[in-house]
Amino acid sequence: MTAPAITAHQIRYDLRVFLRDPAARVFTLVMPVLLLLLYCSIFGNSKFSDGGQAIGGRDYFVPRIIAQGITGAALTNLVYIVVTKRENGALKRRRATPVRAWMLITSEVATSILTAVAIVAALVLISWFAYGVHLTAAQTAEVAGATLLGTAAMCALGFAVTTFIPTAESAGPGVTLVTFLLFAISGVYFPETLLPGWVRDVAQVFPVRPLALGVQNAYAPASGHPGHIALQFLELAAWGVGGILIASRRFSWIPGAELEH
Amino acid sequence: MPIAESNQGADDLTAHVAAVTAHPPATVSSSVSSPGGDADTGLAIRVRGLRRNYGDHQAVRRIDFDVARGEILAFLGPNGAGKTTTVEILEGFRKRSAGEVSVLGADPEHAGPDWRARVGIVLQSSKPERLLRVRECLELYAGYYPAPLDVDYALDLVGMTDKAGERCEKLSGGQQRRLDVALALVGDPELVFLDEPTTGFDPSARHMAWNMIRDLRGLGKTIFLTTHFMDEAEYLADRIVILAAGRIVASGTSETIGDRASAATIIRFTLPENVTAEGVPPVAGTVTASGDRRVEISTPDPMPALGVLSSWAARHGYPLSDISVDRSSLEDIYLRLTEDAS
Repeated sequence: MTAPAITAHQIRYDLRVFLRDPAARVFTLVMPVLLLLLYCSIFGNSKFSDGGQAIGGRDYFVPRIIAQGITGAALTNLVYIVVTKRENGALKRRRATPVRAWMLITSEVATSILTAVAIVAALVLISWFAYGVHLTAAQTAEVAGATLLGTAAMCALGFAVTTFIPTAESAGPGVTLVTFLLFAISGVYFPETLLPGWVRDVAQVFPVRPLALGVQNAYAPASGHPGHIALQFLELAAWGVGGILIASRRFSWIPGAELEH
Repeated sequence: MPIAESNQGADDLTAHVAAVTAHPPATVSSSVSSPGGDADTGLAIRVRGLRRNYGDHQAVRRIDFDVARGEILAFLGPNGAGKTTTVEILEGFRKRSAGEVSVLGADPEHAGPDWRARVGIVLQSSKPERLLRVRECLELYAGYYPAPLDVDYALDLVGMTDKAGERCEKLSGGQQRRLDVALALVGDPELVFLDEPTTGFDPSARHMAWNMIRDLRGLGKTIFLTTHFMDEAEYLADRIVILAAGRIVASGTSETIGDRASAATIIRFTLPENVTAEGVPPVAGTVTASGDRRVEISTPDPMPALGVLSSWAARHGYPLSDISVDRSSLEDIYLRLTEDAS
């Protein structure tokens, strides 16, 4: 088989494993949809102030939940899958074959992108048809662009995060806890105007809030922080590059217990 | 053929005894530096002066050995002897501190996908591939190789045809290990590393695995076997290398290793009630008797001793019905060699 054919072969199997994993399905695909239904029902479209501007509840929460969905698919899920494979020896076993490292990495990233695109499409369509949150073609393109940039950055970050997680057991709970906190301070679970300014400043340092603001700018360009949008994307890209730098120095295919002392 | 072998006068690869430590590396390497590298020499693995340090700790201290193509080599040694380090260097998973290593004619540290396609590795501690069925797992791995085996044939090789549709996590330990072997074989490798392939097996599963490994040699594969079980090494290996404290302390066939062929034979029996140890006729070797009338004779020359004993017993009508004659077992040799080293 040619290199692209082997990569496609790997993607088919990685996707199959993802789709068979009940925990991955629930956390990655079901949770964001449930959140969307819950928040759009609770908040309707009552306006509240965000950054000095009025914004409708749906225009606020749909982008935040999209950011949560992307992070779940590209960061949480990737870390969980890669650490599990590393610790049970599957990555080492693959590296004992002629398959090249870049094919395996490409496959993990492609699986994450496909998953992220699927969950974002589901969220966009549900909010469109069930709650009347419509997008123009240009807005749709902006959401797609933010999704791809966000997914790429989160994947890169995900590979970096795996290098700090020693065991498969800690991968699921550990990353879920950290991302839960990030979602909370990034205004995914409640309007961030309820948070003190310094909490928002802390959230702004991490990649979830910039991604949320990037998507929100597509949904409600007049509401949010239009002047800062380039900065949000720049920060996301910086997180991605940082992730690549850390991962390329620290990433391991070998179970932690077997590392050289 | 390297000089190491021609000295033995052995052109049969299975009788290849590489007492390579006795030969200066320069002599040996001059004999294998022909164009085409080790491929022309009948060697699958060639190791010279291999060293590996972890900080101040010397895990592997200048070892030399060869593995001929088509043979099963058993690599033995206690935990911490440097076995895993050596195997992982051969597999290309670890770097060495010094020395020459050639596996299928290439340096594993820098070998690429073409080399990987010719080497099958059964890792020591592998867990099931999550959420895949046995057949899917083999199909996934077959897809990595340029000329894989037919998946059905690979399943049949390890006796897993009836488990093809089973989820990998549902397999028993022995079945999982057989799947590991099938995954290592599906690329149709020339050389297979088996790291403790039968650990955790029950006796019948172990014998099935042994037969399978012998079948692999029948297919012309070279097998590098790491094991803790002496009976496994004795049953399977054409040649045994024993590593202790980072050094090779012995190498040879299971018959000859550690001077086993010339080691003392132990004759044991129980004396009849009215006979004392003084009544035993003199034989070559040392006679020891214990309070419960057990006699143990350690002799370098068992047949004359047995002749003396049997005519003595026949003359007096002693049955000596519990008499036993044992060579020192491979395990005895192994324990002596590895204890001496540490």
